[in-house]
Amino acid sequence: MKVGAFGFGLPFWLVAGLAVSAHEGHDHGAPPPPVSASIAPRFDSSSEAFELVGVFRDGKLTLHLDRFIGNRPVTDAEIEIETPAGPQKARPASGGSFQIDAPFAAKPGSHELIATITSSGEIDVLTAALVIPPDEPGKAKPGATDLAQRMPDGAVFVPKASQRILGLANLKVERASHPQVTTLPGRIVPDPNASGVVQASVAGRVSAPPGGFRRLGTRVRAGDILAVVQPAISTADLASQAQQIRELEQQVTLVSRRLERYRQVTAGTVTRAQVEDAELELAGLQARRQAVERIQREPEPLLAPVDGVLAAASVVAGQMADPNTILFQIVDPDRLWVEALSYAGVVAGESGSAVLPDGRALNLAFEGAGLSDRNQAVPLHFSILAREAGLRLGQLVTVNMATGRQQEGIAVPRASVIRAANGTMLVYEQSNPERFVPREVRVEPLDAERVIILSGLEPGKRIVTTGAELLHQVR
Amino acid sequence: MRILFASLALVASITLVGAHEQRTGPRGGALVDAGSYHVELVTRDKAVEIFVSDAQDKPLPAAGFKALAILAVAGKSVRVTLEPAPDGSKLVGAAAESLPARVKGAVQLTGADGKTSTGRIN
Repeated sequence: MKVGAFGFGLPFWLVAGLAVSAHEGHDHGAPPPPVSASIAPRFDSSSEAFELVGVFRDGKLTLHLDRFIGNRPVTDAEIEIETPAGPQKARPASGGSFQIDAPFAAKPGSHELIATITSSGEIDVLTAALVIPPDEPGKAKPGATDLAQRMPDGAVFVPKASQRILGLANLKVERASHPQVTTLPGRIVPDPNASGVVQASVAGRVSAPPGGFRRLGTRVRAGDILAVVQPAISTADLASQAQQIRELEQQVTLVSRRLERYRQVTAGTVTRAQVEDAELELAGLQARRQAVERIQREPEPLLAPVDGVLAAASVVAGQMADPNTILFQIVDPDRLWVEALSYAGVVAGESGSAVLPDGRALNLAFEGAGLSDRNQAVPLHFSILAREAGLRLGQLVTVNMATGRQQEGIAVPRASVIRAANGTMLVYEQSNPERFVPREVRVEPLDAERVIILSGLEPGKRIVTTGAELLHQVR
Repeated sequence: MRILFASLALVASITLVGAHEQRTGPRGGALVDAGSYHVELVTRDKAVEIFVSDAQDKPLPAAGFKALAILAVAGKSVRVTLEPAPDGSKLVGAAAESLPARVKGAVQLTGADGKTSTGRIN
């Protein structure tokens, strides 16, 4: 159980604090709540399920109810407050809060309250003390709204209303055994079984296929014509080809004359075999002549070797293509790999994960490792398990690979760890409903979404997950 | 000094607020702190009894005290007001329905000086 109370009267709070510590210590609570002149008198109280904050302003007590774990606002609860003036049901107020009239709190002093919370079948009874400081002339009055502020001890006070705007969420952390990982630099590469390049086999002039060149990013199927190459023939080749055609034409003329003569002479002088030979020779010569002519004209269609998306294209109509130059690159975006370079002799694990520069995570499966060093590093290949939109070839990623060893620590989401201005790593612990204490921690990577805290944080604490960066901005 | 050390050790050993076990008083009821008093709440069927002692667990006479118990029973809250018993050893009250031996809730104790203090039963 914990009861915290503070107002803007330091002496009051001090008295309350002393009273608590002088007592046997059962009524221990979290660290002392913040004290600031600009904050309205308030109480906070929490159980395993809920935390309740009450703010007294202008004769009304505004109640904010949240889940203890997760810090999610509870707006559908029924709250009954046992006030010194009898029980009162709280009515819903703006922003998912609740309100009661609190004329009893106009009098300075400590007001003991009991809150009964009923929410979707759960019932909880919380106790709290609302401490109203005495009116002192010349003392600053709390403003119309409570402002988030950093306390002299480095903790951050964020009123519940601001917490809801920032969307602060917390997580109760546990110590557990996690696989140890090592981080490697990596980049996105195509899966060799689901990617291909298109090259011309002969030098020639590139022209568009029927329907024009495909745009980048177009989906193509294996066998689609991407471009047509008109083979280029050198002058020497052209001359020899012309000479060959002339020769063949000459022979065709000779043979056809001979055939004509054979047909004109009377039967018996020429054997039937001679006529058939001449006919075959003529047909053969004509076929050869056609073939030689076609060599010059036949264009080479460039076909897509695999299904996929046009990842790169470097052709314009009329361009001269050399054999071996890559004209098109086709990649299946659903089947990409990550190539990582390991500089240490890492025993490749079965799984890993990668983080993109924008923080997105990729789950990886180990495919294989090279045996030959590349720049003093071993190349490792991973396939990407789930499709992720917007991946590009060559994109740099950080690969977290399990080493097969285990380590003890507290796993927290990556977003909950902040790099402070002095270079240390921080997490924010929610010590009270409205108080967040920075804790310096030592972290190591765990996987794409989480890091592991090795020291600096006790298990069982609640740390801020969503909104930690915004919380850190509070001055 | 011993108490201070004990309190420090207790604070250090408890990592989460409210995670520790509810203490039990000499009569088998839940023992809670209400301000500078120790309060033991005993439920017997519909009857609710509160025994008040000081911080050193020395029993105090119930005369002059008033108490209010708000108990969570079967998804509902039960409000019981308690007055000193004729023999002055305890505060007694009655609930509208029978209560389990162990209940969750809160106790508010009002002293003769009108000062109130509350304690929560886990």
